[in-house]
Amino acid sequence: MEFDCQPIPPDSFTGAIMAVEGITDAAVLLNGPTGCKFYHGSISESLLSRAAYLDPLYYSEEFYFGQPRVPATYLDDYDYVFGATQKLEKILPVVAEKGHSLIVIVNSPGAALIGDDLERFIKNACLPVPCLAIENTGFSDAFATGFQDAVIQVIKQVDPTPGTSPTPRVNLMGLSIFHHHWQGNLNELTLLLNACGIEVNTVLCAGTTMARMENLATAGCNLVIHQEYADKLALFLKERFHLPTLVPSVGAPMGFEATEAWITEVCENFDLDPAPGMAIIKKARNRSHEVLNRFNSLTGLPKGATFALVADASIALPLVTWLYTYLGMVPVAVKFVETVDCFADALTAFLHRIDCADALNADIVAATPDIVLGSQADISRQRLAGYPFAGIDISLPAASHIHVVEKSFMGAQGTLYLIEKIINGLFRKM
Amino acid sequence: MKIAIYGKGGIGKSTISANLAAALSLSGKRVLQIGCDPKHDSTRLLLGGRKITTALDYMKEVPVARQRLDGVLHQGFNNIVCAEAGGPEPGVGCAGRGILSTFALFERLGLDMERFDVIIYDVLGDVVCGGFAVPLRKGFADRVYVVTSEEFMSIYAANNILKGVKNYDGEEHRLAGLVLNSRGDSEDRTPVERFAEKVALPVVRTVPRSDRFRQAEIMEKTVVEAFPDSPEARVFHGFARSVMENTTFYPAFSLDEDFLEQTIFMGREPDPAIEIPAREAPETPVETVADLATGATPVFLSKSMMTREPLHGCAFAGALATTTQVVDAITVAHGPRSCTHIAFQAIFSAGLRLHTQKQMLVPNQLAPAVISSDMDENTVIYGGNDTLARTLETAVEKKPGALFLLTTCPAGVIGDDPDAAVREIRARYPDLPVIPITTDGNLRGDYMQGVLNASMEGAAALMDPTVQARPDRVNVIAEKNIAYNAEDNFNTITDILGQMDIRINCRFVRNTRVKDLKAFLRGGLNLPAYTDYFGRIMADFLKERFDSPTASLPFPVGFTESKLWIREIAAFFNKEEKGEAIIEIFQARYETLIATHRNALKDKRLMIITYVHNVDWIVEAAFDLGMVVSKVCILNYSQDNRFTTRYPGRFQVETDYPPHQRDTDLKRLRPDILVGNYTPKTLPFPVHVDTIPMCPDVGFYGGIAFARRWASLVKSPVNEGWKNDGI
Ligand code: SF4
Repeated sequence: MEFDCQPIPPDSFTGAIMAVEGITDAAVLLNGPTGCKFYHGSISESLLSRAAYLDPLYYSEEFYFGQPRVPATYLDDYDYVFGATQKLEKILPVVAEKGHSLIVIVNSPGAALIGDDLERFIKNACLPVPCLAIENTGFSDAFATGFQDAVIQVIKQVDPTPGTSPTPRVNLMGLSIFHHHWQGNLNELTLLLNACGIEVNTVLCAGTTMARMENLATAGCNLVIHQEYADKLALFLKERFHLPTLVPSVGAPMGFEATEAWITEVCENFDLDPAPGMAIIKKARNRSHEVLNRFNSLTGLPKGATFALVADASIALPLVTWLYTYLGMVPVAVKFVETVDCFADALTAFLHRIDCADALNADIVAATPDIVLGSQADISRQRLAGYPFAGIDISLPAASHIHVVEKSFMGAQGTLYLIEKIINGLFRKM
Repeated sequence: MKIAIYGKGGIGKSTISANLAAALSLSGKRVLQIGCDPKHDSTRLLLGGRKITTALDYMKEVPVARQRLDGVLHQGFNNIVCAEAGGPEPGVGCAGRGILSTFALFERLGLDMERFDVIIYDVLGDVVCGGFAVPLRKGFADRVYVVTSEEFMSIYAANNILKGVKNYDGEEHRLAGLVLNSRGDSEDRTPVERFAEKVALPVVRTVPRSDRFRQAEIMEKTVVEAFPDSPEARVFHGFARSVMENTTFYPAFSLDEDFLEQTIFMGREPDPAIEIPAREAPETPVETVADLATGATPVFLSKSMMTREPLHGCAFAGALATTTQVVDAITVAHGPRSCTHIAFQAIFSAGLRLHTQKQMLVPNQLAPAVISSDMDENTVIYGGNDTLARTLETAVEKKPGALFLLTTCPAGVIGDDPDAAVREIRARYPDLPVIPITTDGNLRGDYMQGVLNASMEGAAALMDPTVQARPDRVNVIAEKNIAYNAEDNFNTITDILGQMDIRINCRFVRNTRVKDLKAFLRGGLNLPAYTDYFGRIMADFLKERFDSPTASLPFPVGFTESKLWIREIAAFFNKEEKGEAIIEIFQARYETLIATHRNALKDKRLMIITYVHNVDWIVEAAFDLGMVVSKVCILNYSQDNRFTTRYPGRFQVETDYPPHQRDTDLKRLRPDILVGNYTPKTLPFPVHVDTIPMCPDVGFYGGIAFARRWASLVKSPVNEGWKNDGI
């Protein structure tokens, strides 16, 4: 057989669920079978934990099926024929009792086809909690599309009141709990922004609350982390609240240069001095030099080591640039998962400039890189090829490592963490 | 002969179908009429106005295990067999899906269509979605009549139906013509005539408007029954004759909508369709029909399916977890990417755990060979057969040993017909096994049903029934692909069997190849990894289908089970002496282990709260270590409620254990060690707690492996400091 088994990434259905589950006091109510429920219930709890217990016994009531998250109407063949009316009527009060600030009914792909009138159920249920329905999250659309559409629907439901803030304040956009180490990344960026006198208002939608969602129109602007997950949202916020959006030209703040450029652009936007942020990065640069100097003098590495990268364009651009210019590593295979033209084009041009154009979409297995940065599914696939390399799981699914100390890929500490992974990976491979 | 009669709702197609059925039956034909209209009044006139249970209601009310054909088939006028699919109220659910479910029910209950001379499907034709198109699919209807009146909406619906027929027509045509159910002599027939001309179809019969239909309806009979000598009855006898004699079929053409409106009606205002008023039917019981099943296909259903419990997981994911175990096959998943992603993740995380914890690289779990057809919005609306055909073609290009096809809920709901795509691929690549598996997401069952179907319809389809058993070879069956110790357990078993010079022929279905499945019957005995519900069904299936015997004992856990297991296999292969020698070696080692830990654990009290129904492996170790088993509490777990023990009376046991009773029991029994599948967060007083796996490690040391752990556990502080750090 000549089959090159590729990982199957999530689509807009998962994107919508992750958007809502990223709001700590909102809950998805899945109008769908348990086949769609178990995965989303489990992944949302592992990415943003809310429950104190893992024993399924604690969640044995109807609709929860042993999980604390994503209760479902457990549709079956009969419900597809006759509609889910009865189950929806029963489940809504049960979920409403749990103390959430918002319930979002999300139709599974199958349920979206039978066209149950969810709005009517919500109206008739007279719930004490706000509730909205997402009847169709799309079929095989990009994760980012489902994610943004759901965030927009939540904002419409919340209907935030416009306002202003006396201090510089930003909404962070384009970050979901489905981004690996989202919490660590958020902490790092908040640290940098706070150092420069900028407050983080609302994070759309990773680890935020409904109260913060209500507050979102008080920010001075939206600041984008991953443009793929923010482009539609930015248009919506502009139209609805006249909120401008800043898309830093470097992509996500990964690697020292991109992080410096990112914080500089943000500070310029508010007419603030980036120096305090730059000082944090400088300190990390010193540490990096100390470590790399030692490693390089003994091994000659990481210069000349090859790498493959599978990532969204907003990550790929800063990362490839930094790995090449800062560490001297050579790209041999680069693949985009989700992409936006501005970053994809800039990276393509960069690859041409450094004479590595054939790395774009090259087969990773055939390219035999020293380092593979991607999801653990990409890394495992490579592992099966049977030659030595080091894998760095920068996206989900991640390796089954239990992280105790919060990790980040962004900002000063995130860059140091990447260096640590790279040099240890290369060291082990020697 | 299988006739589909399509027409707009309220046009009178049910009256026509029923009268045609009556006329055919009077000509000596055995007739089955199936109403495929949610209004479920297609057969009313054949049944004297009596209400019958629709197939969909029956499915809801009667657990699968008790479902019989006579629950949905009823005897009508002149022995005509009648059935109604039923369906939802307008505006909710999906009536088309109901038709699909009804046909699936008939298939599952083994309805023998061959026992009828004529089958009439009376189908609502307002919407020709995948579900309503079921009778058009090959094998269901071999001739189609379209009923229309002179009115615009009726002709418009007829035109839509022709579009549907066109989509499902292959090389052979099935359209027999139009039937005009006239609204009266004063009606202008020109539009129908023009329409017939433009779509090149004859009007094969005109049913005149007559008060006799109304009178017969009041009597709750067909005209054929109520007024047998009337001219109207003669129309139907003539129609019946022409249906039987007809050999001419036409290709389906449909008209562009603008064209239809302008050319056929030339600006004429359409009249509103006339509805036949619904009538309250008497509650007289209806004679049912038994003995129409072929009886040939035994049904193997998962527990949830049997009992109509909530379905856990979907058949699609269960099937994918199974078909991807055939390492040189590709599975095509027909549906949106989310479905394949979800199922992929379950397979991948099991593979990842194996790699992380045991450094085992299992290729088909880390990179399962699956291609998603990535059904999009367009496919969902217009049907996904083209997308599916393309995806299958892509898979074939990779030169797999076999190709499996699974469908998701959306594919099932829209009623895609994967068989057509499969037939096409099979015709082009006759040497490649292309095997569709019944899934339709969870429409055909839960995760376990998917595993069963993939094993029985999928992997078993590859087996060569002519292969003969070879000496000293066994097959392994019913392994749990998601159990993280499945590979370790297999290795332990292989090792023990190796000591008896017995080889493993094929794993059904785990980490195997097409050629191994073909040669499955070389294995003279099947060894079940588990004899739970799944294991028992697999054993029954292999016996029934291939007369292939299965050992009675599952992979053993603990000393006694291992001893008995070796003896059973040794006896089957006449290797008793070898078996006893192996047992002796293990016994010596086991006793040494017991002696090492007995002092630390003697007289310690053990309480067990678990979802697992076989605890003898752990109880045995505890007794051998001199421990006291205070109580065994079995939590409710629907897949298998079969608690048994070899130690009756030696400990308290409570099945269906109410979790809230735990604290009372703990206070009363004061165990030294509490074991369960999860560590409880709150306990009434500090106690040493340990977890045991849902699927324990097999072999002689499965239970005693915990002795070492418990010996150190009782030495540890009973309350750890970190527990005070929670907020
Ligand atoms: S939509 Fe159906 S097939 Fe798809 S994951 Fe959900 S239950 Fe399974």
